[in-house]
Amino acid sequence: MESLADAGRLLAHLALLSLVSVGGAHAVFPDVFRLVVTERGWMTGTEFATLVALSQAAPGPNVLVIALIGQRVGGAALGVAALVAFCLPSSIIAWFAARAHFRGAGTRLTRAIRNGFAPVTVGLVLASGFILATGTAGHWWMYAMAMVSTVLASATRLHPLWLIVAGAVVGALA
Amino acid sequence: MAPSSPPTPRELFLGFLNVGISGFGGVLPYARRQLVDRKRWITDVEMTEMLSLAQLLPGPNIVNVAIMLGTRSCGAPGAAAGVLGLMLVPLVLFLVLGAIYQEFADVPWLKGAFAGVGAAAAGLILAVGIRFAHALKPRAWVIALGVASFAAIAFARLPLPLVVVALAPLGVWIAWRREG
Repeated sequence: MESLADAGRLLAHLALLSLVSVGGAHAVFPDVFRLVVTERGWMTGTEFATLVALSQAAPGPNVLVIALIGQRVGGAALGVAALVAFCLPSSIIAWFAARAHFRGAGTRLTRAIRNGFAPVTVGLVLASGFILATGTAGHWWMYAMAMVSTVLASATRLHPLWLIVAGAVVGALA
Repeated sequence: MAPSSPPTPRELFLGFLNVGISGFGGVLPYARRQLVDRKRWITDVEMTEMLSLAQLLPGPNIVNVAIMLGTRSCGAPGAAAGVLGLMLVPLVLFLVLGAIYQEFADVPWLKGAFAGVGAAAAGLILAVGIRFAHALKPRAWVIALGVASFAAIAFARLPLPLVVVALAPLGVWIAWRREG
């Protein structure tokens, strides 16, 4: 990172994405990737994928990957600021929505929003996984690992930690 | 299993602190165990209802659940206490891990291990999407919208704000018309 302007650009981008992040942090990976890797070159695609992996391997909400990305771009302070920038706008919306919900407002509209958003959210999350699986994989075994992990995680009740451990072992030996 | 009395901000902070530090690969299953089974702040049905609302709102689902439960229990202070409890300890842990990673990023076998974890993590995210998809009704417009949003991001590489602003209102409009 070169300047405060860069930090500002990252934070503004995250705050904007926050407002449309249906599906949570998972849905915004392609857009964050585009800014920090493709457009600005603040890190490589492999580094980006590694930070996502780190966030899946460590205990805690997955959204903390945003802090890791900010930290990689401009140090720990920017990591904290990035997390706040990404969480605050959506949290304010959630707060208003919660108050309206507990007052029993607009059941038909709530249902229409839920049913209308759901397919879009599914598409966004799948696209994110697809881009992470294909955009950064350099070797055939990485595609295989992603496919095995997809099948086991969606079809069985296997704990995600086992897949993470398997990925680490396979990767270290490959 | 009668729910206990509404939690205070302090109890919310500690309750969500417990949720935040226990989840590997996503904290939602731990949230259900903690909030419904152990603390009994909400029932299973309320948890499902909050989750479905949390999923349609922007923002991380677990953060939205903390805000909703906190707001219901004791207003804005409760929401803030829940979110801070959820984030503070893992945030410090993540920043330490991030710093360690930057030190050792060039060790070859570690590089491979991280690449492997990255591939597994991509699969976990795909599985989340597949599980969501199973919950949808297989109507033509639902499939069309899902495919359109997937293709817009994965292949056309359009910006997320554009895709959401174009497709989400369209989905709401169709869902509203269908029900009317």
